[in-house]
Parts: sequence; C-alpha cells; structure tokens
Amino acid sequence: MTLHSLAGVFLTDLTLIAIGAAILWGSGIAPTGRRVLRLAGLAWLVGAATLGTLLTLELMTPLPFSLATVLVDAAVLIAAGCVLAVRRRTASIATFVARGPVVISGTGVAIAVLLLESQFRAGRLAGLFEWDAMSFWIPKAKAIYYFGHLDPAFMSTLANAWYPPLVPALDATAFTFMGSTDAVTLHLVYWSALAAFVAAVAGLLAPYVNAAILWPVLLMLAATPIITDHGVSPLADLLLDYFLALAAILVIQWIRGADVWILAIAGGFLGAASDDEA
Amino acid sequence: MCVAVAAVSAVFETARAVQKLNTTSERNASLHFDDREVATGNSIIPDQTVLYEARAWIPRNAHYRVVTGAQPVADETNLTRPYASTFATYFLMPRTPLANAPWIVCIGCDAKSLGKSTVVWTDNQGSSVLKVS
Repeated sequence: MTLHSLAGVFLTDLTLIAIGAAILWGSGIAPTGRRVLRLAGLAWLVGAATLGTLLTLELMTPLPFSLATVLVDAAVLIAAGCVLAVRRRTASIATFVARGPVVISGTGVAIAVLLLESQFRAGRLAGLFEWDAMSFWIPKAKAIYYFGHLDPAFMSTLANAWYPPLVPALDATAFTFMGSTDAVTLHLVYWSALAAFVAAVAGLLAPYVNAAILWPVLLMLAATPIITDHGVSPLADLLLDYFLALAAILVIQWIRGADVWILAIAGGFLGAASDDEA
Repeated sequence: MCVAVAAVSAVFETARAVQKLNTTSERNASLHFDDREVATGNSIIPDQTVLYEARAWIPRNAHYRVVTGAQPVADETNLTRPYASTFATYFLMPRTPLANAPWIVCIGCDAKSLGKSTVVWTDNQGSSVLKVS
C-alpha cells in the first residue's frame, strides 16, 4: 500500500461517484446537491454498475482498455446525465425526512461508522488470501490492465473463463488509477463498495422505514459473518448482492408510485448483476 | 418484539464483528511485506524466493511454463504440485504461461528431461528457474 495506490483508490471512488451522481441527477432521483450528498452511496454503486457495463461492452470491441478509455467513458456518462438533467424529471421519491427518533438514527450511523472503520483497518493491509480472487478474478483484471483486452488464449488458461468481466473491468480501472496492480490496496475499493451499499440502503429507506426498524436490521446485515469475513475481499459475490438488493429496493419504490426513471436505474443494476458473475 | 430482538442482535453481532475485524487487522498489519504480497502462495509454493527470482529473471513480456515432476521439494504441501502453475499465473503477470516456453519455473521437475537447459537459479531443494536453449 503506497500513497500512489491510495490516491488511485480515491480517484476511482471520485470517478464512480461523479458518474453515479450525474445519472441520479439526470434521472431526477437526486435533483439537488443536498440529495446527491445523501445518496452518495447509491451514486457510487450506480457509477460502478454503469461504468462496469460500458467497459464490458468495450472489451468485446477492438477498442483498447486504457486510462484514456476510462476517462472518456466517464466523461460521456457524466455528460449524458447532465443532458438528461436538463429535462428535470422529478421522480416521486419522497422528500428526505428520516422517520423515527433522531437519537436512533444518530446511534445507527455511529455504529455503522464503527463497523466500517473496522473493515477499513482490516482491509488496508490485507493480502490476497481468497482462492477465487487469486486464481481468476485478479489475473483477468491484470490481463485487462496490462494487455488492454482479454486475450482468449490467456483466458483459456484460467478457471471460470466464462464468467462475465464486469468485476475484472472495474478492478482494472482501479489498477489504472493506482498505476500498478496493487492487489493489497485493491481491498479498499471493495471497502468503498461496502460503505456505499450501507449508505445507499440507509439513504433510500430512511424516508419510508422507521429508524427503530431500519438501523437494527441494517446493522445486523452489516455485521453478518459473510460481510465480516469477506466484506473487503476482491470477489464478485457481494457486489452482485449489492446490485440485486438495490434493484429490489428501487422496484418497490417504483411500485409505491415513484417515477419510471427509478425503474431505469433498477434495470441498470439488474443488467450489471448479470454482468457480474455467472 | 421483532424490533427489540433485532436491536439486541445488532448490538451483539456488531461487537462480535468489530472484535473479529480488530484481530484480522492486527494479523494483517503484522505480516511481512513479502508474506502480504505472496499471501495465498505461501500455502502453495514452499519457498517464496523462487517466485521473486522468476520475476527478476524472466522478462516482463516473455512467456514461461511451470514444470512439476517427481523430484522432492523441500517443505512442499499437497497444494504445491497441483496449483503451482495457478499461482504463478497470478504472481508473474504480465509474463504469461505458454507450453514449450523457453523459461521454466521448475518445482520438483527433472531438469535432464527438459533437454539442454541452463540453471539460472536454484535453491538446491527442488525449486529452480531454468532456461531452455
């Protein structure tokens, strides 16, 4: 873990949040800066889903993967969100007023921060001890980073070569910003995904669910053994779960009367989920 | 009632999770740099040195192959011979594996059976880096 790698993680997070924020703004889900801030976690995951899907499509073309490709893709996605924002569709997502006692919300946030801080310390110096990450997820990401594409001859030497490449594409993006294939610091990108998920669920459900119900359930989820043990592991499993869970929440909000643009975001998450893991 | 159960569970589970994560972070922080970089490989390759020597000797744009054999390898595990190639693929990138490549990472292989080869490095305990001419 070097300062250069840490800066790369920060730039990765910034890029994904910028893409997601532009899309949320354009879709009317987060029409104000304040709401974008409150849905920053959702923005990170929307950015990951969108950029990951676009990079996956590009890997099927002769277009080489590089820093320039990532930056152009990000610029195009951000511009698309801004253009959509001109139309100012206001989705009927509830005005953000958290339900339930503030003291419970505050306590929930504090405990969530404690959990995430512990995950950060566990992940910042973690080696790559996950077999699947070592045997095929990270080699695929390295192949995209080093060679600019997925060489079929090399892919055939790896296990589970048929798995979709969204996660390796996102890992390669992080490597590109880091300037190296630092698999240790890569754990912090997955920490960002975990933190984004917790924040996204809280941000989306707080207007609908009483804090006395929301926070105990969310904290129980964040403290489950699978997340305690693998919350920052460079694997596709939890990212898939994040995409599916958020898609479900957004579909329920659409059923309750939110604008159809929420359905589009949910569709994006489902598309990314199918591109995440076989 | 359910809310009370959830709240109590959340408190206990959070405390347990934080304790476990503290232990994990202490263990990770205590790792030597090489152990952190090799990680899973420590259970596969008995001596990390062969990996670093292979990385130093084999050019970044070259191909290599991992050859295992029946020769004894000091401190090998039951993962060594089946998965040495798998770990080498991860660790030695951007070098890529190729059948009949001139560079060889030998884990218990019989060098004589490989033809005319030069021993670039060896630990004299079953692991070596060879180049076939």
